[in-house]
Formats: sequence, structure tokens, C-alpha cells
Amino acid sequence: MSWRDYYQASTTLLMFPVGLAIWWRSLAHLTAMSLAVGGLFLALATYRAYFFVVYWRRMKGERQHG
Amino acid sequence: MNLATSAAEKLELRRDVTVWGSFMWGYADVGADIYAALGLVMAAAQGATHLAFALAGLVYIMIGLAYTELAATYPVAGGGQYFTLRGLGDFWGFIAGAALLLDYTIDIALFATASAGYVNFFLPVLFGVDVSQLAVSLGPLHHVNLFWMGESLLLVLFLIWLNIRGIRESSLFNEILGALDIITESTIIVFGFLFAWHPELLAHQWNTQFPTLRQFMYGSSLAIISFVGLESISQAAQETKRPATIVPRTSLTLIFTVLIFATAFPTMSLGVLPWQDIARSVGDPVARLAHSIPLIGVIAGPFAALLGATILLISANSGVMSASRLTYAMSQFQFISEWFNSVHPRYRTPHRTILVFTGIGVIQLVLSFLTPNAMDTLSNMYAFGATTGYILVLISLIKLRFSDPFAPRPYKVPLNLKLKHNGQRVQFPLLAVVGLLGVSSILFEVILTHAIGRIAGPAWLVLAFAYYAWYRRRHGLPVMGSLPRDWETQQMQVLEAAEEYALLEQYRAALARREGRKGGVSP
Repeated sequence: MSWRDYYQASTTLLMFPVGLAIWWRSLAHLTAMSLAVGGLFLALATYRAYFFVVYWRRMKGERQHG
Repeated sequence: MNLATSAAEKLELRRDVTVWGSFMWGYADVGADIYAALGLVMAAAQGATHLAFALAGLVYIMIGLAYTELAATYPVAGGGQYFTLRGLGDFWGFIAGAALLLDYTIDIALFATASAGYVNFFLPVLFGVDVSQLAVSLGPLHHVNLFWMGESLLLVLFLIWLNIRGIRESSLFNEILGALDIITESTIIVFGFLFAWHPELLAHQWNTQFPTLRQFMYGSSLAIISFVGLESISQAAQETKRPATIVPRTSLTLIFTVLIFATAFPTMSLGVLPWQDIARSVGDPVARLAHSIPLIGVIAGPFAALLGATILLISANSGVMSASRLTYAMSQFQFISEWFNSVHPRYRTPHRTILVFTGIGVIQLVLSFLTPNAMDTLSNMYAFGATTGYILVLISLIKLRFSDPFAPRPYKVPLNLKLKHNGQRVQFPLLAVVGLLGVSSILFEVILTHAIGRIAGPAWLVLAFAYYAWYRRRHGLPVMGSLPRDWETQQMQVLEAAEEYALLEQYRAALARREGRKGGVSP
């Protein structure tokens, strides 16, 4: 893994708790905008997390094929 | 010296810039913009500041993708000026160069002023005085801050000295500082959203503090300055080995990172503080925001101020360096006199370029401080230069798809329409058209709402054109026409110097096919 991968991994991991925390804090004063902000963080994190799935699958495939 | 030789000599400058180094090169330039832009945009777009940044961000994505394609295809320093020259010819190449030169001189003045603004964050603690209290009235001029102006001028003089002496910050310094900045900005955003963000405040400001259409247009046109600095992508491409592989990766990461920060900061700010608080801190908005976050604010505020002052000074320095690189390129293409290329006999640096264009930056800085809000005045001009340059780059991208379909494009702007043009299959970039409409509307907003930018910006271009016409006539060169240039030979040299051998073969094969169709000899 390169520095860029570590950077992307850490920012992706940070986006999940941030998105969830925004939703949690929004519960007291529910507004469409706060839901959208939290949702965007979660959507972005999920989209980026997809690349990790691809990476792990590739690594697994490489290990299986020696 | 002919063009091919000079290009080949310049290409010898290539060095092994890593993916991380290439990314940080760009980030040190573009990443600093939010430090200057947040307070300015907040003062105009008020409760809709996050929307203003998001809309400008959408346009920025399209410009960024265009730069990525062009920098990966033509990895030559010169950026927008070079792409426009190749796409649209000498005249428009010069206009793009003049617009970007305006941006670089403003870059020096604006970012030195912003850097001094973050230094002023410490004034209340150190001397018990706020910088706004030091403003005075000079005859008909009100709110003239001579203290802030003096600080900014000192910083510019320091940059002139550094550049004439040829002292530059090392790549490692840039990388460490860039990494620190990313960590700091991420920490502010994460802690801010987790512990200080009140969604009801964001919604309240959206509902009750929504700006008028004119204010929003002004704000969204200023928001584009938080994304200016994309030229660094092509500067990095020039000095990167295997740019076809590295440039698209680093460039897309850079676009994504800057977009996240530029949209997250205003969204968070409006949920943490009233917009007026950030707007009042026009000199140090990020530090003000960081200072108000619980738990980390005591340290994060001063740290963000220190980091902001440093990274903005580096951004101002990039203006000095870019202006000299651009004028060097322009004189090579016979747009301006070779007088500018003279190097200092002792320090071997382009001292004339540094003195002339940083001198223009100094004049702009002094004049801007005679207006009620120096940063706002400088941003006016900055937005004009950037949007004019970007429009020409997007038009060039479209034109080059038709006029230079043989050049291998390791990265292409997505969403293309396949067409046949002169028997050759070309891909028409639909997204570039959308981007063009977006940037054009921002330029329209600038002309409509920026009282200074709409006069001073075009006046700069007219003056530059008058010089260009005088210079070209004096040397018996066409003013509106273009000089004959052997782009194909140069493209092969560029690819060879970049060690992109597969692309070079692909290019030669494409040219051979074209010659075959013509019935000529293959190269």
C-alpha cells in the first residue's frame, strides 16, 4: 500500500463516524439539510469503501493463485 | 534557438516526482485557497455559502477533469497558456497567458495579504489589539489598514529576496507541510461536525439569512477562487516521469480532496457560528472557526493560524515562481520580448521577471488597501483572470479533440459523443460543454457583480494586447495569425523525455496511419 492508499483509507474510515454523528445530532432538530449532509458523508464513505472491497478481493485472488 | 531545441532543453529538467510529491505540489497551491476564500464568500453568500461553494465546486470538477486530460496528454509546463496556444493559435494563447499572468500577480498580492491576516490572529493575544481597530481614514478614503498593508508588503519583499537569491522551499518541506495541513483540516472538520455542529443553526441561517440573488451571484463567483491553482497540475506534469500514469491519479485525488474541504468547511461553519462571525474574520476565518471548536479549539485555533500563514505564503511564492515560468514560456513562443528572460549574473535567477511582475503585484496590493476591503478587491480581479483562462482552456480541449485526434490521451474527460470528422473518428466531450457553460456563467456573474473586476480585468487584457500588437508588428510577426510550429515533432520529444515509450509508439503508429491514408510517407 502507498501513502496515497493509507490517506484514502483513513479519510474513508473517518467519513463513516462523521456521517453517523451528523445524523445522530440531527435527531433532536430534524431538518432535510442536516440529513442530506450526513447522508452525503455516508454515501461518499460507502462509495470509497467499495474500492477496498475490490482491493481485498484482488489480494485474495493473488494469494490463492500463488 | 528554435522551439524544438528549447523544448528539448527544458525537458531535461524532468525529475522523479513521486505520486505523493506530485499530489502535494498541487495541494500546496490549491489547498491554501479555502483559507482565503471562506470569509469572503461568507460575507456575500451568507446563509447559502455552502450552496455557493457547492455550485462553484461542480464547475471546478469539470475544469479539473479538463486540466487532467490536457496535462496528461501534453505534459509541458505552461498550463492553460500552452493548451490554448495548441488549440486556438497564437492570439488566443497570448490572451490566455495574459489572463493567467493577471492571476499570478494577484496571487502574490492576495495570498501575501491573507498570510498576514493569519499572522494578525495573534495580535489580540500578544498586544491586546484587533487588526480592524488599526484602520484609519485618509481624506476621502475610509477604513485604510496601513498596518496590514505594511505586513503584506514585507512578506512580498521577503518573497522577492528569496526568489532573486534562488532559495526555494524543498519538495520535502512542501510534502510535510501539505500533510500537516490535510491532517489539520480533517481534524477541524471531524471535531467540528462531532462536537460543535448544530444542524438547527445551519437550517436557521439557510431559512432566515438567505442572500439576495445579486449577493448570491457575487458569493458564488468569489467561491471559484477556492479552486484556483489547477495550473500546478501541468507544472507537476512537466517535471514528472511517466506523467501519463501519475498525473490522472494525483490530479483526480487532488480535485476530490479540495472539493471535500471546500464544501465541508462552509457547511460546518454555518452550523457552528453565525455567518457574520466568519465574515468579520475575513483575514483569518479558518483559525476563527477552529478556535470555536470545543476540546481542541485552544490549540487548533493558533495552530490553524500558524499553518494558514505558512501555507498561504507558499501559495504567494508559487505566484512569483509561476509568473516567471509563464513569461519564460511566452517569450519562447514570441509573445513577449526576450528581455524578460535575462538571468541574474550572480544568482542565475530570472530577476527581471521577478521584479516586474512581483512589482505589479505590489502595486495591486497597495491599491487594494485603498479600498474598504483589500481582500475582496483582490478576489474580484482573481476571479476574472481565472474564469477567462478556464473558458479558453475548455474551448481548447474541445478544439484539440478535432485538430489533434492522434495525440494519445491517457485520460479522457468522461461522457463523450463519437463523431466522424474529416474521415477520422473523434470523441466530442459533452462534459466540457457543460463546464464551459458553467464557467461562462461565473464570468457573467463576475462582470455583472464585481465593480472593480469588470473594469480592471478587461483593462489588463486590453493593455496586454496593446503590448502584444506592438511587439509582434515591430518584429514583423502576425498579430492575429499564428506562426508555423511543428507540434508533432515536439509532441514526440515530450513523450520521449517523459519516458512514455508506449504512448510514443502509439502516436507514431497513428501518424503513420494518417500518412498512409494520404498516400504519403510514414514518419
